[in-house]
Amino acid sequence: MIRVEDLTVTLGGRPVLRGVTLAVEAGEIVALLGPNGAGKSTLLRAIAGLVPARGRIRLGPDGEHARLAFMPQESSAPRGLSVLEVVLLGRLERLGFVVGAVDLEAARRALAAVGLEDLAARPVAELSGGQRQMVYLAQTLAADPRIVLLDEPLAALDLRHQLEVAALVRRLVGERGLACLVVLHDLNVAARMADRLALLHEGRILAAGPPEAMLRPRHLATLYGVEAAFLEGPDGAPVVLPLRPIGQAACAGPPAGTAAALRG
Amino acid sequence: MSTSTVAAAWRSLTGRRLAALAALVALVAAAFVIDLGTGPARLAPGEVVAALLGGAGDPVTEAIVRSIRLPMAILGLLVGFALGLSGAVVQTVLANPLASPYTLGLAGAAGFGAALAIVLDPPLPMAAEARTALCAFLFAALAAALLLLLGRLRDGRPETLVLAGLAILFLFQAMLSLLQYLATPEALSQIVFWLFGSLARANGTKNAILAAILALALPALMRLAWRLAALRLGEERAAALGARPRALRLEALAWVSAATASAVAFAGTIGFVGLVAPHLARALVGEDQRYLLPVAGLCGALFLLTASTASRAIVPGSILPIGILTALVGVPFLLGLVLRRGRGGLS
Repeated sequence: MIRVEDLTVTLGGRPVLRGVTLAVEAGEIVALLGPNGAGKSTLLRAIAGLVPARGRIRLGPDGEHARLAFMPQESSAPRGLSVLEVVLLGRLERLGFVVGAVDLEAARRALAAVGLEDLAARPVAELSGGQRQMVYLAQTLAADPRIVLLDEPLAALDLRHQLEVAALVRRLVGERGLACLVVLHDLNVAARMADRLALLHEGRILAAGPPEAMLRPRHLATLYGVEAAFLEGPDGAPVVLPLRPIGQAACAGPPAGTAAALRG
Repeated sequence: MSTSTVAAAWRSLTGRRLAALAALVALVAAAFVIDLGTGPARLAPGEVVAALLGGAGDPVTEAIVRSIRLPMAILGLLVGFALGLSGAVVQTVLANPLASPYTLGLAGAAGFGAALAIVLDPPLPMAAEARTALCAFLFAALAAALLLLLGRLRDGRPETLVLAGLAILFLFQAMLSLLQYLATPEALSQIVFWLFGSLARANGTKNAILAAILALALPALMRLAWRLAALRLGEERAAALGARPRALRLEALAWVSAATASAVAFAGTIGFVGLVAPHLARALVGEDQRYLLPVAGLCGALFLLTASTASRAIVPGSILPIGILTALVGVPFLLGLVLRRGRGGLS
C-alpha cells in the first residue's frame, strides 16, 4: 500500500506538488488523471524517491518498506540488448556481476506473466511497440514489487494493445495483491481499468473516488476546461464524450447520432 | 518447457559473447606477435615467440624483440585497450555514438601540456621525454577535474558534459596554437611530432604506469557494468531502476579520464581508436557492458597493433606516425557507420 500525506515538491523554484494526500491499498488500482503539467509524473517520481519531496510517504504496512517498481514513460529501445537482459535489469539493485539462477528464474516468471517467454533471446529493438511495452512491464515485475507505479503505460499503443496491457495490469494487481498507481490520459480506459480515480489539478488532488463519482461535468470542466457528454456504457461504467473547450464553439463536434449510436 | 526456453536463451547469449571475447583475445595475441616480427629485420612468428620465451639462441634477435620492439608493442596494446575501453564508456554515459575519449577535451589539454613542456623546457630532474609526458598528464588531469567539477556543479547531464568538454577542448587548442605561434622552429617541429602520436616513446616505466592504471580502472568500470547497461535504456528508466545516473556518469568518467590521460601522455593523440573500437565491439557482443567493456578494449588494442604493424610495413625502413594511419583506417569506417545509420550502424 501507498500512503502519501501532505506531499510538496518544488522543482527549479516552481511548486509542482502542493500538499498531495493520497492512498492506494494492496490489490487496488488508482488512476491519476489530470491535464499536462498537473504534476502526475512528478508525483510518481516523488513516491519512487527520485525527486526531493517534503511530506510523508509510507510504503507498505507499519514499519515495513515494501518493494517498489516504477515504470517511466520513456520507451527508447537500444540495439544490442535482448529481451531477457532488459527484464533482468529490472533487478538491477540485486543483480550480481554473474547472473544467478534466482535472477534468471525471476526474469522467467516476469516474462511468463506477460506471455513473452519465447521472445527472451530476441533483440528488444526488433519488437513492436506493444511487445516492447509488455517487456518493460515484465522488467517492472522482475523485482517482485508490492507497489507498482506506471506512467502512461498505454501511451503510443494501438487499441488492441491498450486493452491487452490494461487487462494484464488488472489481472496482475488482482493475483499478486499489488498496490498500483497509474497515470492515464484516456478517461474511458481509466474508468474501466482503475478502482478509483484521483484527479490532480495544479499540484493538488481535486477529488478522488470511484469512476462514476469522478467523471462528472464540473470535474472535467475544472480539470481540463472542457464540456463533455456523459453516457452509461454497456458495462455500466461511464462513457465520456468530450465535446468542446469551455467558452468556445466546437471546431468539429461529433457527428449527429454518435450519442445515440453509443447508447445503442 | 518455459524454464528451458529462458535458460537456453541465456546460455546461448552468454556462449556467443564468451566466444567473441575468446576470439578477440586470440586475434590480439596474433597481432601482438606479428607486430613484434615487423620492422627492418623481418621475423617469423616462431622466431618472435622463441625470442620472447628466451630460447631463441640468437642474441641479436632476442635483443631486437625484447629490448626494441617489445616495449612499443606493449604500449600499443595498453594504449589501444585504454582508448577502446574509454570510448565505450564515454559513448554510453554521454548517450552519443559519435563521442570518443577525446570529446571531453582531455587530449587537447594533454597536447597543450606537452607543448608547454617542450617550449618552456622546465628544469625538472628527469629526461626531457619524461617531463613532456608528465606535463601532458598533469594538464589532462586538470581538464578532467574541471570537467567533473562542472558536471557536479551543474546537473551532470550528457549535454552539459559534452558542452563543457568542447569548451575545454577549444580553450586548450587556442592556447596550443598560441604556443606553436611563439615556439622556435625546433620546438615547433617537436610539438607537431608529439601531436601526431607515436608508440616510439615507449619504455618499461610508462608501460608499468599505464598497466597499473588499467588494472585499477577495468575492474572499477566492470563493477558498474549493469548500471551502465541500464543507462542505455534512457536516463529516466535508468533512474527508475536505481542506477543513479548522475553519480554513475561522474564515477565512470573519473576512471575513463585517468586511463585516457595516461594513454595520451605516453603516446600522444592517436585518434579514431576510441571512436571506432566501441562500435566494432557493440556489433560483436551487444550492450551487455560486462562483455562490451573488455571487448571494446581488445578491439582498440587490435586496431592499434595492426596500425602499428602497418606503420612500419608500408614504407620499409621507416616508421610513419601511427596517428596518421589510425585516421586513414578510421575515416572510411566512420563513413560506413554514417551510411548505415538508421539501419543500426549508429544507435
